[in-house]
Amino acid sequence: MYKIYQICLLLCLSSFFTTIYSEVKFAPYYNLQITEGVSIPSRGGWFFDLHLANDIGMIAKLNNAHSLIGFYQIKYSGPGVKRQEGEQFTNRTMDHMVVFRHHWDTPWNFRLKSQIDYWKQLRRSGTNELWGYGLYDINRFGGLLGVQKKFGEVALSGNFQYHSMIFPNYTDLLAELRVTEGGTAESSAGKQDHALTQLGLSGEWKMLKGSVDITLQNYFRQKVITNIVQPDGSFYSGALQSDTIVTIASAVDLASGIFATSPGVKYGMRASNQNYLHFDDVTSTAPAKISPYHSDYYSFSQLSLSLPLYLSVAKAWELFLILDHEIKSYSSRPARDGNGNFLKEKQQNALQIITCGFNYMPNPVTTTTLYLANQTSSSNMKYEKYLPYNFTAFSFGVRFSYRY
Amino acid sequence: MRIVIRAVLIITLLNASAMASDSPKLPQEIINLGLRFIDNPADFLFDLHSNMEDSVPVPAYRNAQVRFNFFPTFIPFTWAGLNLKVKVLNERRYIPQIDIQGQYGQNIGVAVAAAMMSRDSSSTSTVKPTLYDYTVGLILTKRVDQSNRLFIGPKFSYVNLNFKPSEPLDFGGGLKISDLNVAASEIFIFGGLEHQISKDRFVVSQMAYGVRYNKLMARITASSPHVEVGMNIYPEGVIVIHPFLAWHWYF
Repeated sequence: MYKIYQICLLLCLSSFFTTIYSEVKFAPYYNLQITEGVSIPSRGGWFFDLHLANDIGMIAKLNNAHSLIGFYQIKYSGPGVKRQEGEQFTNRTMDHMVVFRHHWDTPWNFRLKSQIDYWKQLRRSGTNELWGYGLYDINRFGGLLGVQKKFGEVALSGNFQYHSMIFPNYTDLLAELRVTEGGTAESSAGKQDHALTQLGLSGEWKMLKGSVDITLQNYFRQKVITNIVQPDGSFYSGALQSDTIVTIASAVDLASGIFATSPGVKYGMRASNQNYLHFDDVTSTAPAKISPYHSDYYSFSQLSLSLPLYLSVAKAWELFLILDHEIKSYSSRPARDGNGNFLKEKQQNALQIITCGFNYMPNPVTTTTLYLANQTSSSNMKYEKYLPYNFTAFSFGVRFSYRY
Repeated sequence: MRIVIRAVLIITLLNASAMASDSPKLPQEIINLGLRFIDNPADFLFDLHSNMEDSVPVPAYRNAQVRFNFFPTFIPFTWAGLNLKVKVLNERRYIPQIDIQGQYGQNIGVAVAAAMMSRDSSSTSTVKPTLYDYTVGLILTKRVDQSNRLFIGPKFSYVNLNFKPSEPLDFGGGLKISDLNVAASEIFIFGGLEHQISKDRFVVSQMAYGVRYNKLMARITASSPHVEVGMNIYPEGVIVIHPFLAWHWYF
């Protein structure tokens, strides 16, 4: 009886999948983007930039209600002027990402999205390291659940995401040594591992769009540092590090004749319970004697403004000018002078990027871009022994994109 | 005979000694390139070898293809190779087209030097110079619409350079070569899109990733019935962009 049931079930399933598969419509998704340029920063010598990204995927429309999207992305970011604070120009990364997404246009007039994804990032600080051994290599695995619904001219969507971020090579031997006499060293392996839980809401009305994202970053092993020696000889308390990131963004798409623009504003805020204990030197095992402890060291707010302007000058030619401005203000982190001494004023960074150039689009699938960019990064952080904070950089190059 | 070996090595190894020398006439960037080559000669040889590979599927209405890369391997490095692809299975509804790819190349200059070494009774070296490469691969292709096909596949690539002169060769600038033995291999997973313009005319974009050493490469090709032009991109290579010119014949 059980075998008959199994055979019937198999027949039903095969009939179901055959019916679905016979109606499936496939469409490819392919994108190759290459950027080759030169950057001339005010600090250090000039260097070649290279960025390479390749997406290959497939969209399968199972029927009117269900579609599946799967794609693989490989991305290489070579040496370049970094936008983000705390990165060397020589840093390079290689990313692999696999995404499977399902869309269901429900009978109740809303779309349900579900996704699982895996992302692996390999990092190198220079050419003399091997890929796969970077201290901050990342493995991310997780997924997303989302819903989209239209209310007349208003489209609203909400997403819930969960990802675990694992740093397989991370360790900090110096931190392990920094225990007081009689204490026991705790391994720093796994201390960067954390979970990202994100709730996002976004909406569109005519040309206006906006979004709010709340992200919780909960570390699995990284404990909050204190200024009091703990029973195990370390300075780590029992509480785990936990950060909350809130991002609010808005933009409007405007177009008139040959002119188009999409000004945007974004406000971000990070609240972290992590503190900072300063050691005079990387090899010091005892905290500095002068102002060693700084609470709320990693919390900040950030305001970003963007004004891209596009001008279609011919059928296949488009001129562009993009202005980006960003201000990052730390809540409590003091700035430092050139010798590394802490100052009373709080650290504040400003970033301004002006990019201009033209796009050449001879057909719907290829775009060639020639660009010129000027980046100005300034900060009251003057201690730049390890990382650049104050510099200007001029970049130019060509970008080729093939997208189908 | 030693002069021939010296000349071939200078051409094949991109005149590494001159790059590495501290001659004030050479720009620093060129010297850096030379130093990067000397740091990992296998990588540059591997990039040259990859120029000769061809992992684009055989057109659906053809059975096989032979490809010869003219520049930048045969000219200027005298490195000649043929890439053969044979279609073993036509695409059906649920089955992709399957092609087998094989490539073999040998440096003619180095081979000539080895032959001359055999005739030279004064040579005391027991190791004849060789520089050869090969690739075997499998290409799986699926049509996604009337003019586009996606393809993916694995391939194994190998390069071997072996050279041991009877006496160390002095290239100047303090660089002497007494023994050069390079053997590099990698397993790649590649994928790309073939866009057909008209019969035997294609634009192809592809990328390959080496699973053992995380080596990356990309290629953009425009091909006519017999000629291919395009560029190979090696993000971490000594020379990042290799423009290429190749010939092919369909069967």
